[in-house]
Amino acid sequence: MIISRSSRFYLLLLIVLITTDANALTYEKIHIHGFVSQGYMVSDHNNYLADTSSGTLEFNDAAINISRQFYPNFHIGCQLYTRDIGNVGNHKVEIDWAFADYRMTDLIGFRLGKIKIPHGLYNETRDIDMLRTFIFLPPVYYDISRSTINAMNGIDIYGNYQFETLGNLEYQILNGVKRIEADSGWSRYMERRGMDITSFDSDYVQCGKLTWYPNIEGLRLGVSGILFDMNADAEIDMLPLPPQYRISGPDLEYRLRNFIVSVNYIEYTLREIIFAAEYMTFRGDLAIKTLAPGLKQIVSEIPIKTDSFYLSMTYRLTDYLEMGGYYAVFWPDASDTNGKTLLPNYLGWHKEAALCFRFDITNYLTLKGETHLMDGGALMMPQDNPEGVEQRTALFLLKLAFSF
Amino acid sequence: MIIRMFRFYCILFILNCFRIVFISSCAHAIDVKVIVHPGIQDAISVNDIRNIFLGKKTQWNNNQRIRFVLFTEEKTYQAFITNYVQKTLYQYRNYWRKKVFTGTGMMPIMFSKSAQCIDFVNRTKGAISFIPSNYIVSNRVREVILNEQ
Repeated sequence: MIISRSSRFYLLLLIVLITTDANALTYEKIHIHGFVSQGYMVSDHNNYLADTSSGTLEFNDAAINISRQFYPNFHIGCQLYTRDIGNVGNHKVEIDWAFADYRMTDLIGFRLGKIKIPHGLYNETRDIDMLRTFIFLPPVYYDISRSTINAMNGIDIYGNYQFETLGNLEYQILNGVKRIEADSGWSRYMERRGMDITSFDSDYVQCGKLTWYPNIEGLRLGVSGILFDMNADAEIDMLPLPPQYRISGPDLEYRLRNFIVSVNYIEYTLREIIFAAEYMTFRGDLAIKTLAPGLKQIVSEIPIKTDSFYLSMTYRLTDYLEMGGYYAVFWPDASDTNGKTLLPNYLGWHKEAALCFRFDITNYLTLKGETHLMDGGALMMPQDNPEGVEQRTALFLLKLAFSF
Repeated sequence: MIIRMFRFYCILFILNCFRIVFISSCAHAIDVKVIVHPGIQDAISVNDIRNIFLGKKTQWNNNQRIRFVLFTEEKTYQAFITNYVQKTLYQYRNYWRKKVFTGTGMMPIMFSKSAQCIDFVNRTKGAISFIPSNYIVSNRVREVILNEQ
């Protein structure tokens, strides 16, 4: 009997809800945890990430993890993750992370395997809905970028040091390789340039994160960065894209060199209130070449200079109710923040205000409602909006999540 | 309709922000005492306690591994986490959930009865926990007097 991916997802949801007693499954030193969520999105004008203008339930995910502790300072674990958001994911099950973790001393520890990339304040937890107030994180964590900066295979050296007067310093340094699927969110981002990515090949990846917890209660600040090169083969897509997205020519090689994504961040917790701000920059050189023999000429060489930032505040009113809001800006080309070289000019930015309510029905079940007002078309995919991108969009989201 | 809901949220948000002004510092009347295995003779500071229960300090001075356990009776748990770890209970649970769902840690051991905590600390080298201050512990475990720094 053939069961579709969607049916498998709902079967998993059903099994989880029926078989768990809302507590983690714990057998001696083996722990099993998981979560499952289902959302609904509707927008008034543009489609955002999915077919939202007519309302969509293609907005769900689930994960299950198992960990075993062998010694107090050594454990191994693995998490499987599946999701569906518009055309991305489609309930394909992936290994989200899987590694061995050995903490030698407070100052140094090692992880080996597939590891979540520690990027900014929330990249590692971007999929874990119950750990935050918002349904959609700000564009610093734009969903399309997930496939590129979610996790990598390699070795992680980490630790922390407690200074007598300066507070606590945490660090993480990762080295390894990154695999990106041809049908990932990044491919969708490339489709807007008229390219259909057929294969990705990413070389060596490095990333690091430094977080300082000064002796000011509730404050943490830091910086993180990812450096990688990326190659992709692409075919010219025949999608009916607006002319400004088209690049003409035969099959192409897409090469992103010395691509650096860095984030500066600060978070301050005052009792039940959390203020956060992050500023992210993308820098690199994009070269697009033809692949046909004898035609090695460079079609295009584009410097990447993308910036994004947000300011957010969340407030936990009671044990079961929390609310939050943020204002975020994304500029695909930070040297042209007014979109003067683009037609229409509002493709040069994405500005967004969001407000969210979160209800913790139980410790394991949360319901969220969120409204976004968006201005600009920089993050609106043309393939989702074949009739053109409008300047303003209002988006409403609902999401129910269960974790154990 | 979405814009109307957004306005509604904004008004609610602003109204609730005013409540922040009236928040008084939560005084947790419950006193707790920190207990350790009798073999541990280290001087322990409030900072150490915070780092231990956040999983950042993992060794005693003699390199013995630290094994902390949580006493989950609501009032004592809340008083300890608020006063010593400087997080709300909700924030503390999420802190460990984050570790669980990113693979960087496992949920701490939890007990719902003081006697279970004392028993664990008594028989586990390097162990540390907390119990209500009015609970008599005899000499099976050592009660810690915390340094301010």
